[in-house]
Amino acid sequence: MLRIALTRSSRAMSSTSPPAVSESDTSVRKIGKALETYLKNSQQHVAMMEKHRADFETGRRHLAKMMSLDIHELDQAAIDRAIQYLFPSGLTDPKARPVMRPPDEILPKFQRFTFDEEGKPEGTRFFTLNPKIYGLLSEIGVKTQSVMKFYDEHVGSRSVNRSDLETANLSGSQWITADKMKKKLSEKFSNELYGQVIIAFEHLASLPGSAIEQKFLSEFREPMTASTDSKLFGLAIPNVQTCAETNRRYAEVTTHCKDTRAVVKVTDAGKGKFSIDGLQLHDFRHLQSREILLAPFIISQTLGKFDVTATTDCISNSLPEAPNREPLKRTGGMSALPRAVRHGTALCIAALHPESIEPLRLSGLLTLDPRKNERSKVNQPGARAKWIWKRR
Amino acid sequence: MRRVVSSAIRAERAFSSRIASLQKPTPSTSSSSVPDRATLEKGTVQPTVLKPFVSASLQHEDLFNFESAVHVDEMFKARLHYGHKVGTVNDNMKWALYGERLGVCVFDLDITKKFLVRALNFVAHISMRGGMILFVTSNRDSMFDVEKAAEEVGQYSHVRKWQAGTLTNTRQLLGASVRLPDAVCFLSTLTSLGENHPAIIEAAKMAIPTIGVVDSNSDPAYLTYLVPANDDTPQSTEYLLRMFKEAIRKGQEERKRLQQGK
Amino acid sequence: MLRSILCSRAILRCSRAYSTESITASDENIIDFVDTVTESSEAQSQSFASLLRNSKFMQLGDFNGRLVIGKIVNRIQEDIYIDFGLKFNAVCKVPTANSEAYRSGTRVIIRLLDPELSERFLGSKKDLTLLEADAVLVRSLSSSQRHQSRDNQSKSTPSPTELPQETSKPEEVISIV
Repeated sequence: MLRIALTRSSRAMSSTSPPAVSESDTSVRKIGKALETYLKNSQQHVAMMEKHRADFETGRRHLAKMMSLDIHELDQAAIDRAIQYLFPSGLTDPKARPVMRPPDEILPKFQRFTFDEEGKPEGTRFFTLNPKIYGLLSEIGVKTQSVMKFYDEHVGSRSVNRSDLETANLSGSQWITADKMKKKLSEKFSNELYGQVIIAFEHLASLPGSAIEQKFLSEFREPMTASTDSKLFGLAIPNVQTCAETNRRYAEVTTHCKDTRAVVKVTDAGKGKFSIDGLQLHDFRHLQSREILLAPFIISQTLGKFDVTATTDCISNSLPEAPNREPLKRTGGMSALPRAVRHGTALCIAALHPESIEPLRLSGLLTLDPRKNERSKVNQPGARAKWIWKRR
Repeated sequence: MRRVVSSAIRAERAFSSRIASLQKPTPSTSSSSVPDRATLEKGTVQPTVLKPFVSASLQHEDLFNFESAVHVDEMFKARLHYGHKVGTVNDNMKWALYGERLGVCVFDLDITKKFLVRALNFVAHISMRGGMILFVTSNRDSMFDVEKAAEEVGQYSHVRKWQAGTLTNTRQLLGASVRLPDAVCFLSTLTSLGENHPAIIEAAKMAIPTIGVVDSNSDPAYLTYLVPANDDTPQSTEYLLRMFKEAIRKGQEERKRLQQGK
Repeated sequence: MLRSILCSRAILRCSRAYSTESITASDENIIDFVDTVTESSEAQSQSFASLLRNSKFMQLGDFNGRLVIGKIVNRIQEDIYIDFGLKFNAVCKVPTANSEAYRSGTRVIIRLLDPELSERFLGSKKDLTLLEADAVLVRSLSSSQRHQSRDNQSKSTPSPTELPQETSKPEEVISIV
């Protein structure tokens, strides 16, 4: 046992006293070296944060004075406005611009561990560095084994519910995203680990008999529609409202295409009627316009189930004009109008008929078309065109 | 210091049996005395001179009486004696083999018993002093058993991918220096690719004593306490885990008893 | 846990004799034998050498072609992992006929080919091992299974040519690799 004594006395991190004296053989110094360093760092961090907080408070007072505001009126939004005014910055990245925020929000956080009085870290998987996510992986593994065993034991017998021997019912939901899992476990981990967890979950969910773990699995599922609106470019899917008089569900959205703005309202339980600025579908003489207007209904297979009411106007008309010029009367383009209505209709259908979100999204109808007429440049006849240049 | 330690270990291994008979431990006189500088310097070359200064409980070869707890027939039943095929044998593991049977290596369980008792004694001593033991394995079949066993006795486990620097670079990885484990126990020392587990080298660098269950194809280098045995069969791992758990429990009980006695 | 190894020299001879008409006799023999080979626990004081000498592992003799009883410990889709008492599990494919009967816990008979699949590849100094045994699944040993499978047994009974004829005494192991 001599080597223990030697190795242990040679190690700085050891928390116990070197067992050279038999009386102090099993006595434990209450605080080990590692814990001592940790406590020292922790205290330093607390002191530093205290100093920064005081600095922030002084700065806030000065800022209030500069902006001639009362200190109580200077909330975070006012600080942001003041900083933007005092330090105008042309940098594109918002993170690169000057900020003034409470130190708790912007300074790096001090990693806090829980130790017992001997300096032992808490948690049996502490040294895996990702104890929570590895704990979850192990839990899934153990449950996988138990599900397999349960199925093998009960596959022929009538003693258990037949529904218990089937796979878990997870339709209409999906695994929670990496960010949500990080929040749920309150731990950071790599995408690789997240992939491993999802593979393990998929395996467990695919096993016959995983129905007994339905509750555990659904803890890590979320409704499928919850995350689709974040993927969309442009407007989000609007909320469904109910008309008080007719008691019909409807959705309303304002969208635009090129210079045309359209306010579209789609009503459920209709007959497929169109009313675009008072015009019906057959008033659009161009076949392409009619196709464009009907496209969302064809793709979501809801032809003749909804009524569409839309009003359109020209965006440029509503913009302020220079006072000495008389306002121009502009109109939106004829091909842009049905496209603007189509985008609005598609969004409303997605709200009223959630099953069709995925086909509508895949066909690109939920995506805003952000293209605009390019401005003409000074000293040029158009946006790109140049005056004819001739050498004398 | 590492060289000193390793030389100390080597010398101690060579002389341990002789010293036990020659030098009677005299705790009553040595308890108050601390080795002077000359003795310490001598101890770096010949560590056995420090033995009188080491506490009485450490003088004992088998303080917790594991000799009677480990049975050859139990180990036999747990299939501890099966090795790999002869073609995979590591030259440094031949000392633990009884022989080969039609191309399959067979461990000598008498040797295994001797080494297992030594390792268990060490584990119990660590546990008695309130040490931390980290159980490591790379075997996918037994990883949940290992985690469960470690949790039961309040120790630590690592059965996943080893992040380089977990022991050597904790400050960077965790953001603060933490107390490292006092012993690392490997239930299998080879990764699935047949390479040595990276934690072995890291533990050696940090002078953390290691216990390793080494199969006939494992490399025993850098491991402090070896247990030559089958590390692939679940029954074998189960038996070894049970013994390690028992050793830790014995140490914890002894610790409790000593603390209450004070 | 029953992990008895079947040293089936007698049975084989028996089955060889009756293989043409039926293997009822061999079946009975196997069951009897399984009961007798379960390891006894009164070997408390025995030394390792005598334990090893009397073990089924030794009595098995040459591994190649032996019929061995094992227990399914795991089933992953169409692969079953059979624990038959040695270091590694044997991995077999589930037969297409009556595949639902091969669940974990079922006892099966396998023909052992190699206790550990290992191969030395060109340029390496050591063998590369797959950490599994090589065996062929013969049939299930459960009683309900036996009656059904008796009809197609004549095909899967061991052919006598691949089995060793004489019963040579196993030698004491002394050589170190």
